Amino acid sequence: MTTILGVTKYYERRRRWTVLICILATIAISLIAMFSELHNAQRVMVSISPSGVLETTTTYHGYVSVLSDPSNLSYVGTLMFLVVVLTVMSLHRDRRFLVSLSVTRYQQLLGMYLYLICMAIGLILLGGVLLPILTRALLLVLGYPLKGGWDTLLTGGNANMARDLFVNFCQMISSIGWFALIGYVVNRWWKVLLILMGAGIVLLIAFLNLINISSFVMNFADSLLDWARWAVDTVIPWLEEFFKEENILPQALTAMASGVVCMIISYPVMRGMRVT
Amino acid sequence: MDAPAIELINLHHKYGNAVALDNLNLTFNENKIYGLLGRNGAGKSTLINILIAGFKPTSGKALIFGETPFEHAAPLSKLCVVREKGMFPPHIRISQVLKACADLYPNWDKAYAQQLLQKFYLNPRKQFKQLSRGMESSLGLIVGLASRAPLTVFDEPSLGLDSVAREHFYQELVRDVDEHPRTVVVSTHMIDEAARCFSDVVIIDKGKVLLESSVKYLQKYAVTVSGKEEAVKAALGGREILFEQRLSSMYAAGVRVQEDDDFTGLEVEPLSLQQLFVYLTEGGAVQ
Repeated sequence: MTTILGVTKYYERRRRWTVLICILATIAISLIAMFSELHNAQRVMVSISPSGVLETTTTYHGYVSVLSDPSNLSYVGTLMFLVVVLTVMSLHRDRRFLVSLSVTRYQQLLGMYLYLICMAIGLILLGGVLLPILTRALLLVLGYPLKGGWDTLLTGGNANMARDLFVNFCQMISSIGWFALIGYVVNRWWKVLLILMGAGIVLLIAFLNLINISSFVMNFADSLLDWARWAVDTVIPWLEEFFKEENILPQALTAMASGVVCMIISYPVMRGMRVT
Repeated sequence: MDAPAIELINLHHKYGNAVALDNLNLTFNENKIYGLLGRNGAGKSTLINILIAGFKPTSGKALIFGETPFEHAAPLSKLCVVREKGMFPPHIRISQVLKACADLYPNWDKAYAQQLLQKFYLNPRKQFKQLSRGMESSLGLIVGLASRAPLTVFDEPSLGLDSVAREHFYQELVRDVDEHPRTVVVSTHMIDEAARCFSDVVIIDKGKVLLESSVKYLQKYAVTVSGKEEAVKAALGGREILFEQRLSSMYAAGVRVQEDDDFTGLEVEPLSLQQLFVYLTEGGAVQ
């Protein structure tokens, strides 16, 4: 366990500046966006909607332009990119060093995932809670009325704050797992993948030269139509059902489960990788 | 009885059709300083990569304190390997290296690492890519010495180091191993310079063991006799000459020691390890 924590701390130290710069950039961009909105509004009073949705209302100063609501977790979406970058960065760059420091592959992997999960939690709290509070507080300081009191300040009036944060966490875990697995697969078998791709292109060209193109295109179009009908009749309704608002938790849990499975599969993939 | 620090049992490794290690059987015992010698391509780096679990051998076993290292944390936690090149990521700072070592080596001596940092004039704020070749080696030496790992392997530790830094390293190595007994394996081409640190020597060539012996035995095994060529040749008679060297009117020849040796009037010195290494790797044999 000490070694795993050591690896986690190592990744944290190595990526500290990347994380810090990205967070500062996110804060700067959010503030610039907010102030430019306020500047554009000029004689317009902004009120933060407790409902958590974009809306235009009229107040005593006339027209009101409503800022993008700070409770909608949009920062988390931005920071998701950072998590993906951190995942990809962590896959390759330090393996040789850690192997030289007598760290086993499973310790490397667990240490890396522990770091990424901690980062995911930290970034969700930052993007989903702290940054929105900061921007709302700033508006308050600037003299804009805050309807709904403390609750609006802390949650932006979002009654499902905890659920939304959890959903974002699940999506981050899913991204970490998938990107890590894809990264390791490409890293280990990139030559084979290139050969397969090349062979596929050659076969396709040969196949297109051999067949009667017009009849092939007709057949292909027919089968495409069949697939499209099947998709419209079966898949799309299923997807609509699955992605309904009330299914948001099962969706998130499915995404997280897929991420965890990818994390587990990534071990046998990276276990056989040579480090010289 | 405790397991040896390293035990190689029929260790065999191939890269395609090229044999890198050819059924090696070797034992490195605890609390000794070994010299691991061999020409380029002899198989030293392959052996080190197998020890560090960089990959699995084609066949046979490499045991560290009785356990295979591949994906086993227990033997690896007792091992520190300082590689010749490519060990450290280019953008890592020296301070980050030392913190990682403190977290990952159970016996890491932080104070000693700081002391060595000053001794080798390394600035902890510098990135690895900013270091000269000698400074890179110095960082490796600090990691290897301060890790105080029960088994430490140095691969070409003195590459690029100036003579003062090399001297510091050899002194520190002997002193520290004396104070904190452990097994150290030094793979080097600076044979004679490093030889005074070694208690035992292993010479490998083309993946095979040419020699496994204590330095004390080797020092008594052969001598260099030098003087006027006629006088040396007359004293040696028809004996097998391990190596010979001419410098102006002086002549030196290495021969095995025999009980009835009488080299009166000639200079006699123990055969250097470097000379013995050259003799062995060019087809000679030690009985």
